[in-house]
Amino acid sequence: MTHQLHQYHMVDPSPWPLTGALGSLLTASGLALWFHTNTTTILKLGLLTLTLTLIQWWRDVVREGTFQGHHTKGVQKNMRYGMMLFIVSEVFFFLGFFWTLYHVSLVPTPELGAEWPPTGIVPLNPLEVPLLNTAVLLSSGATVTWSHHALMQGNKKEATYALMITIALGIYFTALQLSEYMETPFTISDSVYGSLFFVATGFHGFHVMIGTTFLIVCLARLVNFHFTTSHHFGYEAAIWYWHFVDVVWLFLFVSVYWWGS
Amino acid sequence: MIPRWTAVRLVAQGRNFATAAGHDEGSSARTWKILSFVVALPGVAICWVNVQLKKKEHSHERPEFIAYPHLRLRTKAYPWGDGNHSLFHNPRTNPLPTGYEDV
Amino acid sequence: MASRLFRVCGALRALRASSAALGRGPRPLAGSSRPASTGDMPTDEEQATGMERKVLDTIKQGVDPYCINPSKPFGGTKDDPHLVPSLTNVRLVGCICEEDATETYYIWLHMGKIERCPSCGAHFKLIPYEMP
Repeated sequence: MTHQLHQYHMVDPSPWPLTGALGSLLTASGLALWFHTNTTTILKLGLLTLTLTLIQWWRDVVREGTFQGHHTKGVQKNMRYGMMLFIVSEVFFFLGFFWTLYHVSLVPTPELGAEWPPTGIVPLNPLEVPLLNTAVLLSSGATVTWSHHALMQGNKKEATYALMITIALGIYFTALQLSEYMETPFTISDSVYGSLFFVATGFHGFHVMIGTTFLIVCLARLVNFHFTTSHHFGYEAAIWYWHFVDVVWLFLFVSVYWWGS
Repeated sequence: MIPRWTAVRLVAQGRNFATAAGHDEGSSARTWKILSFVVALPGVAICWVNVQLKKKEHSHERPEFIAYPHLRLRTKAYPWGDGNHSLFHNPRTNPLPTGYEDV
Repeated sequence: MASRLFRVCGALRALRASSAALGRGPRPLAGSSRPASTGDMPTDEEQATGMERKVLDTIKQGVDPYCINPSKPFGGTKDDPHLVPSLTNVRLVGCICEEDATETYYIWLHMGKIERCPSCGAHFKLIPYEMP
């Protein structure tokens, strides 16, 4: 290794930005083609490219950080900023759905019966499964904090168990949402109410699945001694993301399920 | 006498500006463990019982089908199946544009 | 998967035992301000490698080769100039003059010569520096 005069990480050339861009293009075009011509070949190819890219890119990052020691304090600080900016961009993504909800529901058009929920829509009772979902996500927030504090205090066993409980709660949430989707009396094509409900809660559901996957990867890394008591930013990023998903649910629960019904 | 590496370590810790390791008061993991088991998980259990109790009260009558123009939109067919059934179609609760399937 | 896990566990246990035997690395969390740990989370002391290890070691020696810690304040007067460490005999510095300034004044510093900021008049001096 040449003598490095700074603490930063100069990344090696990598094919993943290219294959990632290709995968994104194929996925976006594939979705449009699927909606318009009912063919899924391009979409499948795009999703496969994207999945392989993500797995290999993040595998490389784990190698660089954990096994090659490139993630010094300064590099970790930059990754913190990166994750913060990413979560801010996600906040604005969801803000769009809430804006839509309040736009269409505060002054409902005559075409929808001039009321909210629109005429003929039977909304879900927010105090049944949605309330349980809220409890599940809030609990998972508590257990993941327990896991993080146990990890920082060097208690690997407790950190592992608490993280396992968190992941189980995440999977339970997804299962509950799926069973709710099967029982809803309205569908995605039942006025703007149905579209908004399924798009907003559906994207949130995707985020829960991504967050659960992120936590599962962290569990595997924790078990395999990748983390130390003071260097475990991958896990911290997963926790931030999980809390973000939790907060989005609280807003969805209050706005879409409760106030919106 | 404090071993040399202990002193060095304490100095290094004082200099450590990473937020991760900055705040470990000692019993925080225990606090969150207690919160998880005493508040959070019982909360989940109570909500689950609530769901089970309310499930029994449900009437199994569904609203009468009215072909409102703003519902059951099919301006374009769904890109899956026969293009007429939603992805989470439930024949008991979701009518097609022409009405419930089982009547 | 399971066999790999056992191998990693075994290797780490061996590593810890040998470092303790050598009497250099601290055992996990011993001697720190933290409470005694009941688990076996590794620490940076035990596991850091590459550049991360290098930074950790140099900081432990009391040197800061990558300017990670905030620099020591100087008066900026002729008698107490801002000392700028440099590996070569020239370095470009930016003077912010005062906290709320919206401009930065850039000055080329040369070895053996005191330079002044054209705006606030602060003195800068280059000092030679070696990487550890």
